[in-house]
Amino acid sequence: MLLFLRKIILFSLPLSLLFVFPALVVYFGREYVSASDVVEIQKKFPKTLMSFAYNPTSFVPYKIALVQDKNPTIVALGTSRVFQIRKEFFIDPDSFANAGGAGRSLDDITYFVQQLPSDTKVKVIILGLDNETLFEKFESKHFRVEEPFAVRSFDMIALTSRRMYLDYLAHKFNLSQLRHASASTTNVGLVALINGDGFRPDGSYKYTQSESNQRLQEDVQADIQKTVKELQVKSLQSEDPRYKELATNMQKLSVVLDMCKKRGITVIGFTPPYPKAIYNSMIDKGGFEKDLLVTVPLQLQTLFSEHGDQFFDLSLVDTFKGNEHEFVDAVHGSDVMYLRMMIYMASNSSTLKGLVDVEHLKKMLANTQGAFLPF
Amino acid sequence: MLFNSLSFAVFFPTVFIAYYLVPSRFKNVLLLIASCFFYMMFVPKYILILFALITADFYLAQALEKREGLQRKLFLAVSVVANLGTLIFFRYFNFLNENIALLAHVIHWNYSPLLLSIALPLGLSFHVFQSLSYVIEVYRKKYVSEKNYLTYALYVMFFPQLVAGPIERPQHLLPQLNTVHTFDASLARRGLERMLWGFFKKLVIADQLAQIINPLYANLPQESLTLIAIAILFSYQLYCDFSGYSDIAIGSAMMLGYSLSENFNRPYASRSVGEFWRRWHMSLSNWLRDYLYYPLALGFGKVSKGRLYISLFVTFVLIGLWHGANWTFAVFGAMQGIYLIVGSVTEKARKKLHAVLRLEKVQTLHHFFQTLVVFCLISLSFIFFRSETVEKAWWFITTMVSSFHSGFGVRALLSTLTAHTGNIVFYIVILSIILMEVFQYMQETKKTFYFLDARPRALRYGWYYLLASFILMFGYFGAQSFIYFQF
Repeated sequence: MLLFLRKIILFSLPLSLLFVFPALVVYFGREYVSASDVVEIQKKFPKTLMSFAYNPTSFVPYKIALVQDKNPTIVALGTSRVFQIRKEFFIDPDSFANAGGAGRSLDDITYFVQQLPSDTKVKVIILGLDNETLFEKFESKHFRVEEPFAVRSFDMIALTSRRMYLDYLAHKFNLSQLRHASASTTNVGLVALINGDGFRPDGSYKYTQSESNQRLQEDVQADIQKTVKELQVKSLQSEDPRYKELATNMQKLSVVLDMCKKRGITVIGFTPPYPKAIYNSMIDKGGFEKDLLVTVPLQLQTLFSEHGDQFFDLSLVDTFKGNEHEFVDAVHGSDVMYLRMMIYMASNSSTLKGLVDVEHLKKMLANTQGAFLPF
Repeated sequence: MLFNSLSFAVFFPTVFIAYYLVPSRFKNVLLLIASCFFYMMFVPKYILILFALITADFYLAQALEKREGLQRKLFLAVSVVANLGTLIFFRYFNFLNENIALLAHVIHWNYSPLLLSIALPLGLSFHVFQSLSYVIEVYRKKYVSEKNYLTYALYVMFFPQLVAGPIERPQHLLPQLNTVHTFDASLARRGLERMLWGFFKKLVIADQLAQIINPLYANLPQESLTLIAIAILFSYQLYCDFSGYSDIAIGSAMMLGYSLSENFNRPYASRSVGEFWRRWHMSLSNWLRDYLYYPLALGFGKVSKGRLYISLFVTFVLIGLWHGANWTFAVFGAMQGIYLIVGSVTEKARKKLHAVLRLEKVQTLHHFFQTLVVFCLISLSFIFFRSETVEKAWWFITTMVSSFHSGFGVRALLSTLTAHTGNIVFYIVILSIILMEVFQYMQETKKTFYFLDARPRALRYGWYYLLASFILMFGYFGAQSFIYFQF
């Protein structure tokens, strides 16, 4: 039997060569860096962006580490549709941290609030309530805690190596490009190193690739058309299960608002905007999609008012004088669009008025050309 | 524990090495402990149900063996009721209740169904059938009851085939459990080769196809060509998932020195539906043939064609329902029954047509056409197997047919099929299916799975490396369970 086992080991040796390339990608791409180390690096080198391609760590541990480290008074929380709220929108930029991505589900939002230390300085949470947050059932528990270094490395090298090879074959990156980027910047993660996209030290996301994309508008239109087409597919289910999920999530949201109230935190909720074509398709489709835009905001309005909080329905860009050309894809607005949203919300919110200089933001908007802010 | 999990990658080598290191008298104890551990990794408490059935069947078989006449029948009945009762309770209780409630609603009878929120013990249908096979064989005096409780428990619980078969007969497995197995390098190598092949089918084809098909089934497209492609791809997903599992089960048992029954034999090469069922999930179809169809069709009274057809239909509806408590499975089974009955009724006419058209002159083309028709019929029935409701399956089929006139958008088809996995993975899956079909064709022609043994070593090792590299590079390593685990 020993001979047999020896043969198996010898047979496996050449196969292990397959993992040399993934190991190099992990190393040069700084994909192995832990969430807390990212925060430290960003503190030391404020221009550092972070965006992993293969590291299984989700945004949650990074955003929690960031908030714990900065101990801000204002936090943006929600899905990727709050990524664009920047520290520069606030009178005291250092009082803000963007925890977008750490609130993908109501369970995540609850977990995030629970994680805030007892002596937290957080006074305002700007909560983006994405449609997915309201009706999808995410099994997100396992995303909240970062795996130890050894497990993360094994997951990346052994289990995601195929994706690395596929990305390499699709010319998304090459090793010399990665080595060069790694030597010339402090960015962390392959996406940040190769594309220049990633989380800034305030937790907001910089879309460098979209900023430099000459065909951005065409790409966005294609993305919108694809989404519209998907919306046109008729559901075969007689009873939409999302209503049940929505009801549960509304109850969970009420609990979170209670929890915040007890801790002296004001919550300003908003629903992020859709391109008009998608908005209209949702209305035309009727059923749950229409309810998400028509009746759900009313329910949210009532719920927030009951807790003494404020809610803004920004699903339609016209509400805040948004520009259709300020989308970076079918669902994400650019930072300029979010600047417009902030001006609108701050003009109509007594809480935000003290934290945001609306006139300054209006000047910022007037001085900006195109869909992206210069920082 | 899933075969395609990191835990199995640690568990199996440990059991393999320990099995050949422990003294012979402890080998079965080790296998039983390993099997219990393997089973308890799913839902630990259900092992109690398994042991209750094992204990009941072990003593009932011994008791009935000593008796004749009515008493013998009574002990058999107790065992059948205990086994099928457990199966019906866990699997069909809610289904029956829901349907009674539906019927009650129609006849305006005030009936509020009691629905239980309990999970189905893993692989229950498999080990209930294996246990029943043992008791029936003892009853029929075709096998002498096992006197060692531990050996019998291992017969039911042997971990490679515990949760999804192959469903073994006592004549095949029990004598092996009473034999001392010493390490045999060539058997171990063949077992490993078989496992590698099973992992290739499961991880590279079935699980990657699941990534393509599942999102599409959740939101069905309306283009005919896409629906046809989904139906065809699902047939391959199901085959590779289950036959992949069987290969891993057979391979791992072989590494421990045991031989398990073959479960699949290139089913999609069948030229008739009857042949398909002789090649697909053979251990289940043989079980139902021997213990249900034969007694129903030939067991008592006058044998007639009508009775044979009814028995055939009933057997296949039950085969369908064996897969799950849903009308979709009943329709799936009924379709098989209808295919077989129609096939039998039209046999003479088809033979005449064959002679008139002189199809023997274009035999290859004729065989290809037959294979294609059978594959289409089976894929059509699998739409019911895969759909959550009969309505959804019906919508699938009617849309597939009614939107045929809308034309064939190959580009749109490819973009839909590659939307979730990307182009490369999709083409790798297609390449792997072709590779599998060619390899299986060679196996059938050479009449052995291990035909490469006769080829040069470089070729053999090249093949192993190709499979291993495909698994490592293109296998899906997310938690994708085996489809047949739910049965």
